[in-house]
Amino acid sequence: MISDNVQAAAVPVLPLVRQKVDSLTDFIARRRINVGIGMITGEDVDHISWLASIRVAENEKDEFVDQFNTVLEYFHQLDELDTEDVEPTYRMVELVNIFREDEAKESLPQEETLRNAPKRENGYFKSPRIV
Amino acid sequence: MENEVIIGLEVHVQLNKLNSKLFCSCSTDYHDDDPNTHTCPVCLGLPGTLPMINKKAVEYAIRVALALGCVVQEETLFYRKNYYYPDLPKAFQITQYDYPLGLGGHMLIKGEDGERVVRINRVHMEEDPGRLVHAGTIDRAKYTMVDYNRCGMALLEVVTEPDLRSPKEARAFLDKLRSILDYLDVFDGDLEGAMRVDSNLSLVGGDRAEVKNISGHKGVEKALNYEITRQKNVRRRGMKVVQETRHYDELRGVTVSIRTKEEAHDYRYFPEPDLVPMRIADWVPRVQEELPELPDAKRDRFRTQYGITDDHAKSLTSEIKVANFYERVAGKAPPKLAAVWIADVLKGELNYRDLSIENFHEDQMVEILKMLELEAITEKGAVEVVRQILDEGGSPAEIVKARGLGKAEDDAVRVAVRAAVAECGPAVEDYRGGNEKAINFIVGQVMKKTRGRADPGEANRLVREAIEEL
Repeated sequence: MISDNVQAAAVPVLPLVRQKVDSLTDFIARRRINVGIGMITGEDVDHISWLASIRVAENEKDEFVDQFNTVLEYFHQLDELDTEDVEPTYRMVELVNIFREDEAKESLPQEETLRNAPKRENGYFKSPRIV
Repeated sequence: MENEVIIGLEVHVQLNKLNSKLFCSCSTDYHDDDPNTHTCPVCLGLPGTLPMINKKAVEYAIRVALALGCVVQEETLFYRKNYYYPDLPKAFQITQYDYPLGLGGHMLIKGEDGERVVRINRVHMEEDPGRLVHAGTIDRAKYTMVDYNRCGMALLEVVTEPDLRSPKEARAFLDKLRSILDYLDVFDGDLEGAMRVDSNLSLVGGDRAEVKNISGHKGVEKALNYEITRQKNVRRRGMKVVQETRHYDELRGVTVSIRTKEEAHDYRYFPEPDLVPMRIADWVPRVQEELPELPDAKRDRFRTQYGITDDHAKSLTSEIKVANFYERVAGKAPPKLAAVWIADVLKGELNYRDLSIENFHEDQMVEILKMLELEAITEKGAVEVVRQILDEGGSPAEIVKARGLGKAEDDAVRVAVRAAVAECGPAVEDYRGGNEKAINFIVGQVMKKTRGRADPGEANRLVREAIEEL
C-alpha cells in the first residue's frame, strides 16, 4: 500500500491491456482481409504446420488445402443466418463460478504416467532438442 | 548512467502454499520427489479430461491483487494460449487474456533517488508449464528431458509498467513483492522455481529486448546488468539493438539470443471452453477484511509505536516471522535496544549461517538484552552469546558463565587475582621456585575473596598469567 507522503504522485488508471499477440478473432479477421474467407492456401498450410510442428510434405499440401477448405465451407453455413440483433457470445450456458476445494488427492504412479512416452530417461519424458 | 535504462518486469509467482494444483487435485508437494510422480490425466493433458478451478487459488490471487492495489475485475475469464512446446502436454496453456483478475495497481519501492511508485499493469492467473531439463546448455543441448510435476501448479503473473530505472530497482521490486507474498501466506519463496522473472529492458531511444529465465530476486541484477552492457556495446559498435527474446544462462551469467516458442506469435487465444467465467468481485470485501497488516503499514507502526529508526523498522518488517519475533521481544525488553540487536546483529548472524529466525527463541534474546541493559555483559560478549546459541545452542546465562563473558564477574575475578598475588608473596616465590602446588594456595585466596563465585580453573589460569606479568 502506498504511504501518505507519496499519495500526491497520482497513480493513473490503466486502460485495458493490449496484448502484442493475436487473439483468435484477430486471426480470423486478418484471414478475411488477406485471402477472403474459405480460401486456405498452401501458404496457410505451411504456417499451420509450422505452428503445430508437424511437417507436411510438398505432395501432401494440396490434400490439406482441400480438407481445410471443406471444413471452413462447412462452417460458412452459419453465415447464412441473420445475426443482426444477436449479441456475440463465447458460450452456450450461463453458468459461472464452478470451483473445487483445495484438496490434494493421489497422483498416477510414475510408470503409468510414462506408459505412452515414446522415449524416456530416468523417469523423465525425453523430447528432441527444442531450439 | 543508470537513468538511461527502462525496465519492466513480468514476475511469475507460484502459489505453492496451496495443497493442490490449479485445475486438478495433484499435490503441490513435489519438490523432493522423483520426476513425473505428481501428475494425473488432467495435468498430463490426456484426451477427455476436464479442468476444475481450485477455489482457494482464486482467493489467494485476490489477496495478492488487493495487496498490490489492483482492482479486482467484475468478471474474469480463462483463455487458451496455443503453442507447441514440450513443457505443455496439451499444446496450450490455460491462462488469462483480456479479462485478467486484477488491473491497475502500484507498489512503493526504494528507488535510485528516494521512493518510487511502480505501477502494476495487471495480475492474472495461469497454470505453470512443466520443467525442462536440458542436457547441457539450452542452445547446445542434444535433447530435452521433461518433468510434469510442476505442470498445472497455480501461478500468478504480476506485470509492471516500464517504471524501473536500474537493475537495483528491479531487485528492490522483487524483494518487496516477496515480502508482501510472505505476509499474505500464499507463497514459500525458498522453494525451487517459486519466483521466475522475465524482463523487458531498453536503453532510452532504443528497441527493447526481452530477457527470460531469470530465477528469482537474486539473479535479476546480474542478468540485467549483463544485458545493459551488451546493449551499450551494440550501440558503441554503431549497430542497432534489435527487438528479440533472449535467454538468461545463469551458469555462464550471459544472455543469449534464442528462437523460442514466443516466435510463434500466433497464440490464437480463445476463451477456454471447458471453464465457465468467474464472477468473484463480491468476495473482495471479505478478503480485504482478512488481509494482514502489510509491510509498509507495519513499518510505519513500528516506527511510531516503538520509536525506532526507519532503517530498523524496514529491516524488521521485511519478513513476517522476523516482525513477529521483534514484537514479542519488544513486549518484554527495551524496544529500541531490541531493534538494534535483532536487525543489526541477529539478522546478520542468521544470514551468514543461512538460518531462519526459528532457530532463535525470543526468550534468549530477551535474556541477552536484559544483561546488556544491566551492563552485565559487554556488546562484544553479547555478540559471542548470539553466535554460540546459533552454533551450539545453550542458554545465554550458561554461555556467559561457561565462557566467562560476564563483564562485572570477570572484572571482580581479575581484581581478586591481582590482590591475592600481591598478598601472597611467599607462595608466589615458591611457585617460581618450581613448587606447582603453591598455586593452589593463591587460587584458594581468590576463591575466598570472590566468595566462591569465580571458576577455579579460570582463576588458576588468571593467577598464572598474573605471576608471569609480575
